[in-house]
Amino acid sequence: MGRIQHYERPQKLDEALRILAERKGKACVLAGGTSLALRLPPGVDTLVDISRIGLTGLEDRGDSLAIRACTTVAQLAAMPQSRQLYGGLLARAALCVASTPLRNQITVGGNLVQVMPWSDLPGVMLALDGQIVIQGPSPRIVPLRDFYAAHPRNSLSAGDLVTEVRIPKPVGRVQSSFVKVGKTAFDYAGLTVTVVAWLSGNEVRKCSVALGAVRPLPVRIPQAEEEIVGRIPTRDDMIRAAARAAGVLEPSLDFRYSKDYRRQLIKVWVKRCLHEALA
Amino acid sequence: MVNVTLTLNGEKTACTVLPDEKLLDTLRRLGRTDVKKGCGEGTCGSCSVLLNGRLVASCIVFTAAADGGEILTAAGLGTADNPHPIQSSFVKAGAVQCGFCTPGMVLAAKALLDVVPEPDVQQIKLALDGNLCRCTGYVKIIDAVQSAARTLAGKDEVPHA
Ligand SMILES: Cc1cc2nc3c(=O)[nH]c(=O)nc-3n(C[C@H](O)[C@H](O)[C@H](O)COP(=O)(O)OP(=O)(O)OC[C@H]3O[C@@H](n4cnc5c(N)ncnc54)[C@H](O)[C@@H]3O)c2cc1C
Ligand code: FES
Ligand code: FES
Repeated sequence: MGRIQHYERPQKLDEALRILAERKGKACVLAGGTSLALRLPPGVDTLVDISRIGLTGLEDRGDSLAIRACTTVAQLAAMPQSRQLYGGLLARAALCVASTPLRNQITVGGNLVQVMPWSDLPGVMLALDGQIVIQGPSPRIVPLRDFYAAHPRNSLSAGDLVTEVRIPKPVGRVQSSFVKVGKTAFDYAGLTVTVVAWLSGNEVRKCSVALGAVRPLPVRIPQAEEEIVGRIPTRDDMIRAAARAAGVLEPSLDFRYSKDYRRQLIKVWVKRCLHEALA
Repeated sequence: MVNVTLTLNGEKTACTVLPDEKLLDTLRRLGRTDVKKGCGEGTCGSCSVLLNGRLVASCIVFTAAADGGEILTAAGLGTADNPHPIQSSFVKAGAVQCGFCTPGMVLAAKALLDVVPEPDVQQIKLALDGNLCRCTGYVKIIDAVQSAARTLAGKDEVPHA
């Protein structure tokens, strides 16, 4: 400790962006602080506290819902929109993050940017075809599919600030399911599965299957989605989709879960989640 | 250094802190040793305080980020001479053994009961999910929260004969 020399409390987005630009590479965005309190990126001597620049809450953008970056996970869990849209998927997943005190601290932006293998929201937002909105030297909107193609720390520059994540509003009948598999209520995930199914009648028109905690970054499993789309899926289709999900990727191993055990978890939980979403 | 003003257990307190100082360290330096340091990394809940009414793990809060905030610690909730009903319930229910987790537990219970006056067991478990206890096995802690809820709602049980 003691490396940090300056603590900046901008009141406006512009001011925050100016500080980040001026102290190129030496200034770091501080959101919930749950990660930065434990480790600081190398070379940083300035913290830029973005909690007071109006980046909290949800905004209706017509065909999408914008979740502002500094909305805490607890706020997200409590919002009527997250309890309603997509069958309450956002609220359900938010309540699985860490613990009560940490849900009051962790921000949605911090959870999406500082993506740890166990982070719970990235997989959910990926399944929902979310887009991340970045302000800074080159303002841009990046689909999460691209944002998580490599670790975001490689694509975000020192002057970049994530202002919100946009989730398309559901069109037609949409059903979903989510599970976090861990050893205790407050353990890191060994696996998260998110399934979202867009239906017309009983036929699945589009389907997302996203896995978290099995690779360093969250992943979509097109091979599993393929088994479900364009059908009224039977139990066999779901079993086949789950088996393909378990087969296509090389899971990470850690002291809690071996590769084989994770594969087994994927096989069982993808099937159960498909079943729940499509029941 | 950063100048920070906190309202600590109802009292306005000005202090100067390091830019990366954590709230737990500031509070203990200010004499608030009822806030306990367990893991120091957000997992045990013994450092829990209420910041603007919300439960946080003070070991991973930057003090500068809490500037202007209202902080309640267990000693601000009640004292040995004048305990809060939640604290009395913990004592009566046998929910205190070594006591290290207790300051955090009673604040987690307070944060819950402020919003949900009559919680069910599931709600209590969720509200306490960030607070570890190595002694009690949690059963009596849950009993204590339920009995505090009844006391606060004025629905105290008929005392045992
Ligand atoms: C004990 C513990 C258990 C946890 N368990 C879980 C869990 O089960 N599930 C889960 O999902 N998470 C969990 N987390 C949280 C997770 O590991 C991260 O700490 C958290 O997501 C970071 O969010 P934050 O808002 O606190 O970010 P900060 O710590 O403030 O920032 C983290 C990083 O992201 C950058 N950043 C933050 N916001 C922005 C922004 N808007 N624009 C640009 N850059 C930004 C910062 O510069 C920094 O590099 C846990 C954390 C702890 C400490
Ligand atoms: S000391 Fe803060 S959570 Fe353990
Ligand atoms: S009473 Fe000892 S840790 Fe809870």
